[in-house]
This record gives sequence, C-alpha cells and structure tokens, in this order.
Amino acid sequence: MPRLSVSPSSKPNCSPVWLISVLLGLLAIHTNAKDVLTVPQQVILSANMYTQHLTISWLGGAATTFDLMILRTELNETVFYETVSVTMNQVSGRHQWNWTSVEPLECTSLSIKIRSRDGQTTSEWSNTQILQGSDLPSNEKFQMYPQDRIVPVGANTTFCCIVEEGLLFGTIRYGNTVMNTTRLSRRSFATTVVNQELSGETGTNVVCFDNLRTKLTGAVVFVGYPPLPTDFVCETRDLTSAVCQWKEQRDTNLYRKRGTRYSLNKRNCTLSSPEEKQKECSVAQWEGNFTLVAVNPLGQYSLTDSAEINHRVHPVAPDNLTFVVHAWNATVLWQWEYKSYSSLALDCQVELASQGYKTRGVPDAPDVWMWMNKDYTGQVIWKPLTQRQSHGLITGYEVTLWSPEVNFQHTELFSPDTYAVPVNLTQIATRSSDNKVMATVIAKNAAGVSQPASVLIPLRLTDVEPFTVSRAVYTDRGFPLFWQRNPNDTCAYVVEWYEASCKWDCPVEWIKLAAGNTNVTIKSANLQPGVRYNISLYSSSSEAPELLQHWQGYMQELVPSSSVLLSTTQHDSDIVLTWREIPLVNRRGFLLGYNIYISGGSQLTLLANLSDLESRSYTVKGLSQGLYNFTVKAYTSAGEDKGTTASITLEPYTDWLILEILASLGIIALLLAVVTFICYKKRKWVKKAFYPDIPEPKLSGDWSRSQGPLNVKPSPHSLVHMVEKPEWDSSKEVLVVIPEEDEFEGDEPVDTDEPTSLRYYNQVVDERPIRPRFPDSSDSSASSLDSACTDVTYTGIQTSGSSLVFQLDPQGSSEGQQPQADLSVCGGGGGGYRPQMQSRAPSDDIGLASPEPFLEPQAASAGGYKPQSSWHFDSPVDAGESGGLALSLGSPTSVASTQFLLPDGEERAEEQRQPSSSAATWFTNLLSSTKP
Amino acid sequence: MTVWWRALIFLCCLLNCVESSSPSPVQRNKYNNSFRLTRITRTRVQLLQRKYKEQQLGNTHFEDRSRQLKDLPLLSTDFYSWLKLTDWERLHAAFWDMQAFWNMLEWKRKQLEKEEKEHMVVRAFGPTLPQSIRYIQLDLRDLMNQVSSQMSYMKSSWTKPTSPTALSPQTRSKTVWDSRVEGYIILRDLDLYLTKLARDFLLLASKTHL
Repeated sequence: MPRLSVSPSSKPNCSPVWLISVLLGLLAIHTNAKDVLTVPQQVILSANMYTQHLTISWLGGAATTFDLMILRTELNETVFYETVSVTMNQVSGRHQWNWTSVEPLECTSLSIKIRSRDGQTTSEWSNTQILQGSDLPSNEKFQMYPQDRIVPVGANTTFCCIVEEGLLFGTIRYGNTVMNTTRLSRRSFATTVVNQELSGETGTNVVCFDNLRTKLTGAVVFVGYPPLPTDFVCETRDLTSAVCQWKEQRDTNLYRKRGTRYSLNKRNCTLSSPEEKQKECSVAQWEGNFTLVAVNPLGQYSLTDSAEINHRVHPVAPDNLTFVVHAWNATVLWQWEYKSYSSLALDCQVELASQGYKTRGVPDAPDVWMWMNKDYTGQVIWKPLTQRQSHGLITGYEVTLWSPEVNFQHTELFSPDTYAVPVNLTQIATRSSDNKVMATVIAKNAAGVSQPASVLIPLRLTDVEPFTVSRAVYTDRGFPLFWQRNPNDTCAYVVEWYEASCKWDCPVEWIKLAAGNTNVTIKSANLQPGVRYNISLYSSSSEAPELLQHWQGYMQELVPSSSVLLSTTQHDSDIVLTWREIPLVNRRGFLLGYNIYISGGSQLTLLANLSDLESRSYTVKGLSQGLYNFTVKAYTSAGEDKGTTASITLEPYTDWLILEILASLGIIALLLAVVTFICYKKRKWVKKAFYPDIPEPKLSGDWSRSQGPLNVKPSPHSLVHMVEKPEWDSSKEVLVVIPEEDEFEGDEPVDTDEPTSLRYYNQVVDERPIRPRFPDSSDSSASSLDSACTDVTYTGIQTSGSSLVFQLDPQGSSEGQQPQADLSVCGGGGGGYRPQMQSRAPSDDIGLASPEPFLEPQAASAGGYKPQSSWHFDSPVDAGESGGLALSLGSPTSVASTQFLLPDGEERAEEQRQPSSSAATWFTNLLSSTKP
Repeated sequence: MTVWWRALIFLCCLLNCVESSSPSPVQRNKYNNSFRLTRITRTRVQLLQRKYKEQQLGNTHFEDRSRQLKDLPLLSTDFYSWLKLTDWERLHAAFWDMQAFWNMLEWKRKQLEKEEKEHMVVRAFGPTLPQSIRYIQLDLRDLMNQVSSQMSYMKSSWTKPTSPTALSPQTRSKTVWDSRVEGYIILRDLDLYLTKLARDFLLLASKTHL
C-alpha cells in the first residue's frame, strides 16, 4: 500500500517545508506504485500437441492485465503479442492463459514471456520460457506435423516440415499440389492449406521433399464431415424390444477408427451393416424415449424419438400357415411368432391365389350385346366370364344366328379367348321382312354348356335417329344418368357407351339393368379424358332393343388438340374470316365458342367472341390498308386451343383504281385530239411561227480544202533533250531515260523483253535504263548496256538510286550479257526507285558525280525512302526473284507518276508470269495510253 | 495350315524330348524353375509396388531409399562371401529370408484388408491391394516349397517348418503415413531381394551343371 511518509503539518507558518513534504510524498507514492507491479514469476507452459493449445500459467500477484509475448525462438519472430486480462485463480493463486497456435507446436521452439501492466505502467518481462519444438538439433530426423489430423471440410490447416539435419528443404506437396511455404526456423518450413476439400478414402498425403528429392517425409490428413443422421424412428416387432432405424444423410468420409460411432440410450450400437445408409440398432426393452447420439472426431449429433409401444408395432408375417379345405369353404390357420400378438388387435388380410382348381359345374350364361354398323354388318360381343362364372376352364363359345322367319340358322364355334364375332346380315335383311335377327351365345366348359344368352339384332336400327342428345357430366364416380320411367314399361334396360369418334366395329361397353331402374352411374376403367363418349339407353325386351335416350359426355374436357382451319378473304374494304370445324377427335371437349384476335406485334387483342358454334365466319370492318394477322381460337371449358393465325394484306379497292385510270386515259386522249385538230386547222400559222424558211448562204471565193486530222502531238523535244550515244564521264552523274520509241532498239534480248510498263514519264524514272558510268565497270559491259538503252536526259529528273545497285554488283554488271547481270543493271537490282535519295537541282545533277553511291553504297541502298522495294520485300534478293507484276498493282505510286512503281527483278520471270500479270499489264497499258 | 500346325507341335514335342533327355540333372531343372518363378514374382512385385505407390502414397514416382525396416532381411552382402556360400547355406538363407518377407506381407495385407473392409471400398475392376499381395504371398510360398524340397534333397534331415513362423511384427506404425511408407519399404526391399534371389538360383543352377 502506498504510504504517505509525511504527515500534515500543524504549523501553518512553515509553508515551504510543507510544500516540500507534499512533493516528497507524491514522489514516494509514485515509486511505490511502480513497485506494486510485480514481475510474473514461475511461468509454466503446458502444451496439447493435438489441439495445438498452449496453456501458460504464472504467478502474477495482484495484477489483472498482462502483456504476453510469444516468439519463435530461433528467428526471434513475434507470433503473438497482446495485452490480456487474466484474473487470478483463487485456489491456486496463479494466472492462466490459453493460446491456440496456427502452426503445430512441434514445428519450432517458442519463447514465452509475460509482464504485468497497469495502464501505461508495465513491469519487467518475466524470464523467457521456451516450449521446445521438434526442430532442435538433437532431433535430427526428417519430420512432418501434424500427423493424422482429421479436419472438417473447408478448414484451413498449417503443416510444417522439419528438414533432416544436413539436408536442404525442397518442397511440400499437398496431394499433387506444390504448396507455398514460409520458413519458421532453420529447419522448419510451414505451409497452410485453405478451404480443404474432401480427402480421398484414404486421406490426403502431405509430403515434404528435400531439395534433391532423395529423402522425404509425410503426413496424412483426413477431411470429412461431422455425422448427420436423420429419419430416426423406433419400432417393435415382438411388443417387447425396440428396433431403431435411421439414415446417414451424407457420407462423413471418415472410416475405421475415425468413423462414426452410434449410441442408443447411452448404449453402444453395433451396426450389423455399417456400409448401408440405412442403419439399425436394437434395444432389448421398449423405453418409450429413445436418444441416438452419433459421434465422430469432427463432432456429434443427437436425435430423439418417443412413442408408445402400441403405436409402433411393425407386424411380422404369420407363421405355420395351414388350410382345411372343404367343398365350398376353406379354413386358414396360422400362428404368431410372438405370443404377445394374441392380445393385439390385428386386421388380417387373406389373399386367395387360385392354382389348379376343379370344375364344379357348367358356366354361367355370358353377358351378350351387339354392335351394328350402318350396312347390316356388325358384331356380336360378350363379356369374358369371370372365374366364378366360368366354373372351370372355358373350352369355347358357340354362337348361333337365327331368324325364324326366313328359316335361317348358322352356328359357329369359337375359341375361349374370343369375345366378339363379326356378323353380316345383308342376306337376311334382303330376304326378311322382319326387323330382327337373334344371336345366341353359349359358353362351354368341361362340365357342359351354359344357358344360352341371346340378343336381338335389329335390322332397322340404323334408321332410327336419336331424337335429342343430352350431355352427361362426369363426376368422381362416373357418368350419372337419369331417365323417365314409362309406367307401362316392364322391360330391362341396356346402357351402352363408346367413343363418339368411332364409326366402325366400335369397342362398345355396356351394362344391363333390371326393369324399374331410372338411373345408373357409368364407370369404367377404359374411360379416358378428352374423349367424347356416346351413351345410349336401350330397352331390352323380347323385341329388338329400342333406343330410348342418348347422351354425350366427356370424362374430362381438355383444350382442343388442333385448331381451326382459317382462311381470310378481302371483301371490298372488309376482311372476312372463315374457318372450318375442328374434327371431333381433336375437340376433346364441348366447344363453347370461338375467340377472334387481331395480333399486333406479340400481343393478341380480342376482336370478338363468338359463342354461336354454327357461324364459322367473321367480318372485320373499318380497317385501313396494311398487313393484318388474325387468330381464331376455339375454346372448351378447359380453355382455348393454340389458335390458327392467318395473315392478309388489305389492299385498296382495285375496281375504283381501274376506273380512275381509264377515265384519266380517256381525258388525255380527248385533249390530244383537240390539240391535233387545232394544229391542223392553224397549220400555216404554226409553220410560220416555228419553222420559218431559212435563206441559203452564198459563198464568195474557193474555200474548199483537203481536210486532215489535227496533229496536236507535242514534240518530245520540247520536254527532253536527246543524247545520242553520249560519252559518259564517270565523274558526272546524269539522269537518263529511254524514250518509249527508242527503248527496244537495242540488241540485248533482255531489253527487248522489257515490258512497256517499265517506263517513267516526265518525272517518273524507270530505274532500269538509268545508269551512270563508273570507272571500274568494264567497257564491254558498258557498251553492251549502252547499246541496249537509248538514253534520254530528262531535264526535270533527279538522280536515280539505281546507280547504287550498279555499284553494288560490279561483277554482275561486268557480265552484262548474262540475264542475271542484266537484271541488276537494267532492272535496277534491289535498289529500286529512290527519288528522295538525292535532292539536288536537276541542273546540278548533270555533269556532277554524286559521291554518295561510292562512299556509302550499303547505307544508301538500305536507307532513305524506298517506296518500291521497302513495301514489298524484306530481302532484296528474294524480292528480285519472286516479285510479281500482279503484286505491283497495289504498289504505291510516285506522286507525279501516271504509272505504278514496280518492284524490281520481275523481268526474269516476266514471260512465265504473263498470265498472272496480264491485269497489271492491261492496267499499265491503259495508263500508258494517256501519255502525250 | 493344319500341316504347319502339326509340324510345329511335332517340333515342340521333339524339342521337349531332347530337353528332357538331356543329361542335365533334375536339380538344375528345378533351379531353373525357381529362377523363372522368382523373375515372375519380381515382375508382380514391381507392378504391385507401382499400384501401391499410386493408391497409398498418391504418386507412382514415390521413392525413398533412405528408410529401412529392421524386420526385413539385409540386402547388402559382400560379393566374395556371397560367392563362397555353400549351396545349403544359400538355400537356407533364402528360405528364411523369404519367410521373413512373407510374414511382413501377411501383416501388411491384413492391415490393408481391415482398412478396406471398413472403407467399404468396392473396386470395380482389377484386384485390390490385399488381393495382389496375396498373389505374391502364394508365389513366395511356392518358392519356399521349391527351396525346401531342394534342401531336403541335400539333407534328408531337413524338414520344412510345418507352419510359417508368424513373427507378427508389433504395431510400430505410429502414424498413418509411416504405415503407408512401411508397405512401400516392404515391396521395395522385396523387389531388390528377388533380384538377389534370382542370382542365387542362377548360381546354383550353374554349379549343378558343372
């Protein structure tokens, strides 16, 4: 505790002393306060290597705030440095702080030191405690941490590799991925795998190599999920024990000792088939409440279920089933596996399977009905006899048709699987005046024949038109039908139904009703939605069946499966839409009407709703000219069909147009006639006004002269100065051009082969004939060249760069007779056209040798503006060998040129290239023809 | 065609007769058989090693020559002392070395089988690792039988141990990784050992021939 060393003075007159005392006291307080912050003592470390938890405990006195510093011992890197509040454990009197390391604690040694803190005041650091890592020099081995770690999917794990003493670190691979690493100490290297994905069945290998890949070490990490059981339910079978079942919603990806373990009501479950998703565990006694706990290294999950035992009985099959069979009845006896079932109220279901029974009588009479087409053909049909009715195996049916009046009888036998026999009554109908034929069917089995079942087939049935057709509305149970009972009627009824779209030998179903019935509900498994059924009620008496009532109905109405057939016509300025009825089969419901739409873009606008089914046309009026799309959709109670769209372009009423044209034509004709008539009448005045007589001219003297074409060709001498065989002074450089006419007069075949396109006019310089004279060129070559070219000095032309080429290839030029040499000489070689090379005045050029070609031939040939050669070829040699005239079509032209500047070296291949370059030649010829 | 086939079969028979009627002793023939079987087994071991590395270590090119297992026979031997070994010593050593490998394989196979059973691994094609190890064990057993019969031929007092001495190596694998590397070491050493054994049989066969 701070103590005041000075007591307040009672002497007010000694104020300086008092002041000093106070100051001293304050100083003492301050000193004491500093002493209070004790340095943490007895720092103890305890590490959990698996969880990477480090527990630090120390004696810290009264302080509650401490600075904790954790460093990597070797590299002195700070891992953790924070101020933490820790309260003292009252029992032990120590402070304790837990820290979780990102890296495994084995990776490298950690130094831990603590100091107390009070506000800004801190104590001295405690002694450094070192948690030794596995990278101490004494532990020379190649190591990897953590080993066999199990982590959930998505976790981040830091692995470290401690390189063997004497080796150098290489790489760390996670599976097949090479990881980035950071150095933790001299031998320890760490890598962090983030967002880990499911490992393979056998985990993922993390392998650390040395730099030479001669040695390695590794670890295995298992990435999975915590357990997630679902659908937990317990049942009993014996009314004593419980069998609980559940499913594992996802595979945890952890197996063996890492796999999920289950306990049911705190008792371990031994699963009979752990590989199946459906798990099962039993408890000897029903406990009412069940708790399932699933645990794996990544977590646990529990589910509960509670129920009374009687609500969860899963009955077992009866045991020891026996029968006592009598003539007309049988007794089934069985036992229960568990005695407790005797007290259980159970519903028992007995299924009789018939296998090999004995005939015990003749079959019942079959239920016979008939179907007649409209041409005296039809079918006699009967329902198959049930097992109960057949009394044994039916061996066949006997069908007899007879008409007592015409003494006709025909009997035929049919196989037992026949249920319809076609009949043709045409002959009987023609002979008989009676209206009916009797059909009798007899079923046969081993014991004998059944009572005959008869049906009277009316021969005039088709003549009877049904009076009214009512609609039958289907309900859940079928078609409910009602009819009026005739009090005098004592006969039975037959209700038959068939698909309305059927016209021939229809599969008809029927039901026979006793007399006195006034309603029935028709049910059949064969009824289908969207199909119209005709339902008829017949009286069944000794006479032929008489149609009493007729219904139509759908089991379920659907939208029509097809649309109407729509056509559009223009009637004056109106559009008439007409369409045809939808076929009955496709209606799939009672049509209620038609909707007529006009479609503008993607939208349909309802024009009209026609509920009158008979009117199948609609007139749209008041439309202006243009394209219209109309859609007609039929609808039933189920909705509209897809509709049919028809387009029509409303055109102007053409009759009027024709009339207008005819009228205007007539008016024009009339006008013309009037004008013609007037002109005729006033023809003298017209002639005088428009065609007055012109007097013939009179010539004095002879003006006749031979006419000739005016030669306006300017003399070339006005532009150029001809130099005949000039004696070239090598010191002078002049620009010479061969005039077109003289160009080919030389002996050289190469020169004569030169195309006419290779010319320059005015300022255009054809590099081929422009050749300066050089002292080192041989006389013979010079003379041969000279003979090949008649040189013309253009007064306005500058020095050609071709001279450079000449100088570059003196050998070639000395062999002027050879085509190669000619190329370089007359074709200009690789030099091409270089008007910008020298820009002196033309007057200076004449008689003056340019020093440049001699001093820097290479530079000159490569430098400067070279529109001919630079655009086309990288290599002048190649260019000279492969250049084509055709390519030159797109070549740049000189500003003042009327002709394309052509790449060099084309002469040699000129003849071969003639077809390909014909276009260019034509083009250049065309241009040449414009020259003066 | 049939004529050719017949001729070929006849030729084979003839060669077979020549071979069997050759004066080389039965012993040599047996050593040759053992040599062949050793080579076949070695090929199998190499294939399995590759598969093992792929499945367990995730890399077919996995190599670690530095690690050894102390329960496995030593592979390095002095050439002259190896050359000077008597036939009996050679066969005896071979028998027990093979036994040691067999035991290690058995232990590793059971370990893998246990893992697989709990892993519920249903492999669609090819034998599983334990199955492949089983085949190699059968080969080794056959080789051991051959060696044993040779030994009993030399010394009638020799009787093959009725049941293989189950060494049951203690569970020394502390980590999954170590356990996997152990399997690799066993196969790696067995591969090398079978090369040595093949040489043993070649030497024995040549000696018998002389």
